[in-house]
Amino acid sequence: MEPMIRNGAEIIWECLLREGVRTVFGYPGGAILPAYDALTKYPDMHHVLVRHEQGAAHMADGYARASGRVGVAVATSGPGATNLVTGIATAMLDSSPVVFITGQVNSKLIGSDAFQEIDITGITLPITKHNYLVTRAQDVAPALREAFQIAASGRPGPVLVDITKDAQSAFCEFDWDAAAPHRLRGEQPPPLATTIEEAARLINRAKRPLILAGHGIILSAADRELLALAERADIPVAVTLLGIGGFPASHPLNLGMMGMHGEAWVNVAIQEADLLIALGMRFDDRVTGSLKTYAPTAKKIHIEIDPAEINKNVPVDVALIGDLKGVLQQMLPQIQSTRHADWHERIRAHKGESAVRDIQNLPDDGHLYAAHVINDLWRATSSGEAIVVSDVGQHQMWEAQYFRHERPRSLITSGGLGTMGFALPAAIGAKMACPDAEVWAVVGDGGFQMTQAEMATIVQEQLGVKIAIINNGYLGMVRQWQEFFHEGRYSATPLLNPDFVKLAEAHGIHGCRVTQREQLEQTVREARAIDGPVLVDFQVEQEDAVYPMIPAGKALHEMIRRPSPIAETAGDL
Amino acid sequence: MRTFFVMDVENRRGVLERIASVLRRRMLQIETIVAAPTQDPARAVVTFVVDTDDYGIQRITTGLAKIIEVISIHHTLDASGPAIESAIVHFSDGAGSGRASGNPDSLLIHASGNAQALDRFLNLLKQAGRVDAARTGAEAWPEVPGQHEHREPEIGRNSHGH
Repeated sequence: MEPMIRNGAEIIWECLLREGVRTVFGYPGGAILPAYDALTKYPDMHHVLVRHEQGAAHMADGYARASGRVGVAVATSGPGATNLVTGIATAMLDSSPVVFITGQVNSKLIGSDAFQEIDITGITLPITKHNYLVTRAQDVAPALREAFQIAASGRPGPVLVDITKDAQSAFCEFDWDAAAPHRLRGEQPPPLATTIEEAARLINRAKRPLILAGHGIILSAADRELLALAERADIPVAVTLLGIGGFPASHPLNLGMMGMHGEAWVNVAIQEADLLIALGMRFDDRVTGSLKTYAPTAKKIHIEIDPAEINKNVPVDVALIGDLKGVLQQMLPQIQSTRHADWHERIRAHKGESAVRDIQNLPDDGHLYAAHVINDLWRATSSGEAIVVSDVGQHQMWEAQYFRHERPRSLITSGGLGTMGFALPAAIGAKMACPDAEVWAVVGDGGFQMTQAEMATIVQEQLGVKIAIINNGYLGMVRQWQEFFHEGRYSATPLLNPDFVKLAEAHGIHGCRVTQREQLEQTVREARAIDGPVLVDFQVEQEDAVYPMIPAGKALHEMIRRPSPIAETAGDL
Repeated sequence: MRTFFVMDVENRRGVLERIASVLRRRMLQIETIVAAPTQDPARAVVTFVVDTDDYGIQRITTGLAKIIEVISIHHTLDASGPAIESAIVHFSDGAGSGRASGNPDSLLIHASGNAQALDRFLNLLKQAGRVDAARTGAEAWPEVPGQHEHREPEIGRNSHGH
């Protein structure tokens, strides 16, 4: 067979197509121009032109989280590359498989402070699983093939491939098979059978067991194994923020979210458990509160693919390092069918007290609360397969509390880095990945303004993304901390916002506003009925707080609870 | 605790920076670090010394293991163990006394041995006079610690004027 001769730029697209990529998110520039020129020869590759490279990064990330496939973002050198940095770190902290391709100046110019030259591989060293500086055309294919493998394997994460302009322009033989990755290091060995037996023994003997289900359930597609374990051993399940959807919200064993803004009864249950089974979660500080007093009476089993997470924050009794799905499948035959009626009753007793303080049960005082918006959105979409992409802040926590997710990958949000501005572009990525799904971006007025330029991308791509702005005129979560811990000194948190409806209409997006609770249901129904993008400006109670809240450094049971219905709420003060 | 890490890695550009980045993230001061290729040009050995505790050892090891090019990692607290180090030592006894007596102003000594022995040797010299020492950093092979026998320093002499 005749050798295939291609230049490095063409090899980029050849590799991406062979990796199954059909959509990339990017922004052209000088150092990546050869790649964009070569793109014209590959009509099967759809390029989404963004308005800011950060948008491309979040779109590729949202695409990956919604689909389970590797997302791809492309940018030029210098400022194009540095504009990706927040998005790369977002993907890293949440273990999202994304390959970032950046152009770089000609290799002879590297180190000379050339125009738009930046050491992006140096900058992204700590926020990528791996990165490459490719200076020769014949190295493009091996780097990209390995990049995809690294991004998607083990604990997923972002990989950056920086390709010099001369590498893109030079020609070489392109041999896909010869470019297959090979490394000198062997694979991580699986857990010992004896360790699995020990874990099963602990589970079978526990009287007050609790499963802590994290993002790993979704990444490993282990939701069925989790369901089998929980039901067979009758174990209640608490979820982390990124674990939401890994266990159906409607299931009687689902307790809800744990941690700083988790359900009160969940955190109390953790403190009273005699066994915690941590599945694909990393005992993040938002989840544990003070480590000194975390789960004092519980033995702990930790099943996790990343050895670095074992004993990092919380010392555990049994650690099983491996892919969650595989380990659970091995363990399940050793799990006995059990009932824990007393334990469930004890948790129910705690829940009973908390339910009184649920905002949905408060007397209707005519104010529009974010919780009402989120809950109504849930009720309107619950019969379908809606994907909610949440930004960061109070609305994010209310979304986690009041939108009941039944399926994996139905909630997409920035957890680890907590990146404001994530949701709008990530929703675009999710919609590109799942074009038939109803996709809602739920954003605060602060975060929305960080990446609102991507409304133009929505229109250019003709995407029916729905945008719900939870507009309270503040950087709400920061305001809440100022209210609770800085004696109400609102330093740099009040927001003077533009007219979001007019802004949407300027982009060609249908916009509307809700200020009263009675408008809510009809507006959501109309927004859903419109075939195309819609922005709804929900103007909610300005000084509401997310409850419960565990102050930083406090124990899980030291929650600040919403005042009882009889007392005035914070919003009335 | 002074801890010696010995790593077997792929001999590729950027590996040392990745190792340093892992250590930097944990706010560790690298006391010494040595990297050198092996007989197999595809592999290199990196030896570094940091002051850390048991928890730090675990965090360092799991962090380094994520580097794609890392093949194996060993560590030891044993300063009398397999890590060998060299030092160039410039020793002078003070202002001019050597010239008057006909002895050299200074001695240049090349010494090598395990880190513990080198420490002892340099401390002895310091008691005897002014010593400036440039140490190369510990270097070892990625084998099981404790397999190497204890080595006393070998002293070579290179003095000015002789």
